[in-house]
Amino acid sequence: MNVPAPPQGFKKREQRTALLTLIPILAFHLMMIVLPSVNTLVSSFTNWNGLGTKDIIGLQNYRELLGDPNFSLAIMNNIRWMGMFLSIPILLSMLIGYMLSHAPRGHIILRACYFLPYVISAAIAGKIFASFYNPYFGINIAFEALGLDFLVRDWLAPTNALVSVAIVDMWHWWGFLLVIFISALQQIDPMLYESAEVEGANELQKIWYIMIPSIQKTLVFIILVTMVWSISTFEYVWVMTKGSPGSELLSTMLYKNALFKYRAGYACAISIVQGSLALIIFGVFGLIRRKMED
Amino acid sequence: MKRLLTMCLITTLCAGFVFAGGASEKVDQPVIEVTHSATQDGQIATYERILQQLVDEYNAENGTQYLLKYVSGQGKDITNTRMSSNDRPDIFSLDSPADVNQYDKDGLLLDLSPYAQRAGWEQTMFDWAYKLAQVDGKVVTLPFGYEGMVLWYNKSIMNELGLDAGTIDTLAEYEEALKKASDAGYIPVMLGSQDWPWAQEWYLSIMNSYTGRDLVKKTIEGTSELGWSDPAFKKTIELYQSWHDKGYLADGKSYILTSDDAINAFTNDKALFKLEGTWAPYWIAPLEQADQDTIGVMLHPAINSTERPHLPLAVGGMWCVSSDTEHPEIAAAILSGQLRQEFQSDFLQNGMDVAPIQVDEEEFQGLPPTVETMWSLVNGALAEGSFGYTTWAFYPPETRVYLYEGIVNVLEGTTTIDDYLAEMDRLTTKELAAGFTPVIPSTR
Repeated sequence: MNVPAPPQGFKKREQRTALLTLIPILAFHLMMIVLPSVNTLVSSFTNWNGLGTKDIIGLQNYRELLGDPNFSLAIMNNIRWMGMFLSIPILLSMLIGYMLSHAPRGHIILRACYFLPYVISAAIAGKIFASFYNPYFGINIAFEALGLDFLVRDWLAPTNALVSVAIVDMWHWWGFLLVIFISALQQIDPMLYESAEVEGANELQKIWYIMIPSIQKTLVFIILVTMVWSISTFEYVWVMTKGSPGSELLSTMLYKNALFKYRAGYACAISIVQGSLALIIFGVFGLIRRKMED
Repeated sequence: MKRLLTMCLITTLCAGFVFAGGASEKVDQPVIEVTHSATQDGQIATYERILQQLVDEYNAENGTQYLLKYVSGQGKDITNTRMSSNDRPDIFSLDSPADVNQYDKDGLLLDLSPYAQRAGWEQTMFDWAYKLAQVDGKVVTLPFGYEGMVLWYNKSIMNELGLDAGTIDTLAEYEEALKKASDAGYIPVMLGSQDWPWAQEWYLSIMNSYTGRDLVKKTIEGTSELGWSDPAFKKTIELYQSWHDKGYLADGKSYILTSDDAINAFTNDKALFKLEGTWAPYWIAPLEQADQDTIGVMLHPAINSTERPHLPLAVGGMWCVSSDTEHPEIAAAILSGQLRQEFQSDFLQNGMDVAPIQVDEEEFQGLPPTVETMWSLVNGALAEGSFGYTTWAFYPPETRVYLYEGIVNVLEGTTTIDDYLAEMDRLTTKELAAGFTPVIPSTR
């Protein structure tokens, strides 16, 4: 059956309405994102101290970044952080999501329990876990009591700080991923699993051949946001260690330069590097998505 | 209908954006805005009352109708942001002379010289404070509050170990006390910087100052021959590291423990010494009387034969006036008014910064004994000119941040002392070249 094309006037009206509807958010985006971003880019070529005048110093901030051992350390820590977040919380939430979506009852309560850490503020969770990590009364005491002495360590010492803070953030983050994965998993036709069972597929095969291909787009989205977010993460590290040696990240380095060292121009250069990394990740994922759609 | 709804939605959204910033109450009277970093209720109320009194007096004398707008809780991050925008307060507080330096470089501070001269600041204030008020001979700030680092000791543990605080003066005597405490199962010195990294610089302020005040002054001013690479500094950091390695310094966990751990260990009779600032009165008050009674106060013993025990000095804050204020007269009057004797008692009773002036002795009576002792140490040191230099008051900002962050790597063994000091040197040289002007009073 042929569907008649909408009249020309109607199409134009729709376009006009769409444009009008977009104006407020575009104006907001321009004011809050585009202009500050341009300002940041320009400031990254200056010696601005965050207060008054800015003198153009060309690429000096970027050159200094390349030779700054703190910067390489921060980049490496961000990559380590990303590695942790791309593995543990994603795998865990996918697995638990799969189990919950097949649970006959009680899954709503469990889902709420798992999601709960996500609504606790970083400041509060960070303080609570910092107490757990206390060498005198924290989890070390529990490990000793259980005879697990090999697990006893100075959790927030520079050598362990990054992993210790990441564990807290993963505890907070994975519940959110779980909810997204469950939403995606619920879109899978149960008939597919039933057919696979009839064919004799085990659980692992069902996950590999049915679940993962079916939630591919969600998975790509999760990986994308995890990567971008790992580049800009700040709050847990700041609350728990203030970016102390061993847990310095790009964002903590940026914050300290802008507010404690009066080097806002340098901080802007760090911010531009951060933003560029995020854009590169977006670009790569755009290509992947296009390939997937093809 | 659909179109109408769409238009209504767009209008509502636009109106939302327009009014999102809220609307300030329109008043005909001029407003003088004072921002400050205070966050304690008692301190906020005291400031507000005193500032209001000063504004009222100014209005009565000059026939003006100024309204006071006092905004508390404005830390360095907020002040920096506001001062880089067009929404600047008339009067604001900064943390240290190093901050004043940055603001002055950008012409953000009002030249207070004529007002200071008229109000006689030079005659009223301590010499060192008046020197801190100036940059390049121009008065640009009112330093407010003076404080220093002292050593608290636990009287019960001291008695149990057969020690007498009055006889712990030299490095040998101090190390013997530390060893005795350690052997008896106590933490010799408590310090926690995990949640407050700046706590590391408390001890380093003492260590560097005790290395040689003149050397520190020259190093910061860039006139010392070897700068931070001077062997004297190396020896000091080696000593600090040895205390860490022996577990004297917070069981070797000073950067893993929090400031609460430090206080709890000390008040629960687990630590012999605790490093503390003389600004602590506001949190001593809520302690049980028994806990307060167990606290003794002393100056840190000497660490070499060059310097005798002294008090590294810091200022509590720096009152400044924005260069584009439309109300310089009242702003200067408010600053000068805070130097009056009558307000100092209020400041002291509320554990707040006091003016850097000779405060009447009776004002210090009736304070908790620990607080009173700390004040007598501070005032005694100032009277003798026997003060040193805290890092946060006098060091250039980047050098200062590296000082307390880099030391953790030294203690962890991931950076050598030579590299640490070389980096300090590089940063100080760089900051001086970039225009940092050290303002460091001389000691006697």
